[in-house]
Amino acid sequence: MKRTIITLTLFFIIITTLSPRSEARNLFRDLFRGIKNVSRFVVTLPDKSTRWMGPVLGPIAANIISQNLAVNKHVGELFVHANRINQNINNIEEQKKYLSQVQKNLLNQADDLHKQAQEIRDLKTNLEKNLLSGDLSYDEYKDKFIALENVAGAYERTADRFTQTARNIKSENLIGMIARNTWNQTIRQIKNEVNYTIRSEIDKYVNPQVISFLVGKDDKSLDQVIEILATGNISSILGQKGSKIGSDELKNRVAERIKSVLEQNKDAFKNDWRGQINRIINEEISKLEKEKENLPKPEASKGESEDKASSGSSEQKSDGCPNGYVFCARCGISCIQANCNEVDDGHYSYDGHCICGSAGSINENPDDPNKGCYYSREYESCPGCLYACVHSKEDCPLDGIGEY
Amino acid sequence: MKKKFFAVAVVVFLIFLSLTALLMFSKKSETISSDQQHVIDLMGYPKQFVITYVESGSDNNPQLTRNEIWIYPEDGLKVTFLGGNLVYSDEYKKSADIIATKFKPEDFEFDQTYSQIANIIGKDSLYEVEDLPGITDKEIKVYTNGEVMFLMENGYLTYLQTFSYAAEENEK
Repeated sequence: MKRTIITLTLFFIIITTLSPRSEARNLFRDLFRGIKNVSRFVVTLPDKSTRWMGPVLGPIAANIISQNLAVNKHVGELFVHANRINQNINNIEEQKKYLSQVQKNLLNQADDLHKQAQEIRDLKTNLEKNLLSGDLSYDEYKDKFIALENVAGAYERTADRFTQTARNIKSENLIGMIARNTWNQTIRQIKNEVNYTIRSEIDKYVNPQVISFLVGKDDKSLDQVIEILATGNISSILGQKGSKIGSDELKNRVAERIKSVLEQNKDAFKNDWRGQINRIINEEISKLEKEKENLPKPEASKGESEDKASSGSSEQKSDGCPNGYVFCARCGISCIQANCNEVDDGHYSYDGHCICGSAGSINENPDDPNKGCYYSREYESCPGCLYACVHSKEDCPLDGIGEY
Repeated sequence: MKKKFFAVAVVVFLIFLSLTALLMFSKKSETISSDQQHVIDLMGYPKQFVITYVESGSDNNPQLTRNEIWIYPEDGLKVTFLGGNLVYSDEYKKSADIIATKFKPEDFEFDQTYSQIANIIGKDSLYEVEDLPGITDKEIKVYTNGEVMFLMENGYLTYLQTFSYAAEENEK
């Protein structure tokens, strides 16, 4: 019996020394707190009562720290405990003045954040409309709803913190902050960082690819990875060239080329992937631009538009708008296409442009006819007018290419 | 009587041993996803990175999903992973000369303790940053050593960012 116990004890000691002891301690800690790693990338929580602020507060803290690092590499000297007195503030009146200003700044920031949270919550109303109209399945609606709610919640929590800080701030805290001489800069940084973080969060949650991930994971393969990496290059190249090519059309063509290359050779992009992607992008841009130049001009009779947006006639030169357009004082653009609503699946965007399907909205559905077919700017009857909406892989009726 | 006592003690010991071994070895140990491996194969490890955990799942199944941003300043590229999946890439405009961090994203995990992280990045010159505006919760702690900054919430790592700028020589 003694021998057995000694053997088991030795075995236990060997086991615990082979693995880091802290790993076992972590696991017990997590077990008792109900936290479980489903995988390294997903953590299951015991309940939703704890709000996790890392994504919101982390960038704020990082920005402040990195700004100070740029000024003084001895980071330890920068963050002084608030109870130290700043010798530059010598009288009570000055302290009161600064205190009042700081509190006001904090409360103003809190107001801004509350307003932005409300705007995000208003976006949910559109989700409900889409659900009721059948454009969204219930599962899609639920996931998008939760995502938007999380983002709005992050705004609210940050706003509450600003309010709380404003209420609790005392003179000695204020003196400490002023001693670091970063207060006004910090306020701007905080606002920018929160806005950036929340915009990033919105981009992530309303990006169709991420929503697809949240709803149901798709297997990724190398070609999809490269396609995503190429997307970043496309915007930059189009910007550099000053090209008027629609980026979505270009992305579709580049993606097809990438897939085609990888079908022949899986390792094709492993050497100088960036150079190869850029070459493909530039080739496709050239092709699209040539196609655009060869676009045949439509017959004049197809371009005549009827005025549906206002009570004027189709001849609008008197109001400064070109043929086929009418003046709209309350629109984002002064001249809007008169017959936009008569084009199948065509409609006005929020700023008066004539667009197709669900293109550009947060609920953009790639299965909708989102590709717009437009007359050229030289077409006199209705220059640059939308005349048809087709699906992304279809050609425009006049064998042209669409602008998005 | 003594024999019975020892028998019970052995059984309890075996149960404890089994539980420990089960917990130790049942934890999934994948460190890099396939998407991340593809990106590393193409571009190498990032020069800088950010790790955070965003709320996901549902009310019935609340979760945190690991979100990583990898930065490649020479390529002008920033890639975002959510749950290990590559979901976004964007242009990155660097504002200063950036030195590559010596750390890798997989060095850091949600359930690491402060001590574990401190051992990885070095305990010297690591200290807690106090009095940051907007951070009043006592359960939230921010630490930095000038090269890495991380945020611990309720004892868990929920944000980490590397700093690798060429340091200014001027002192204030």
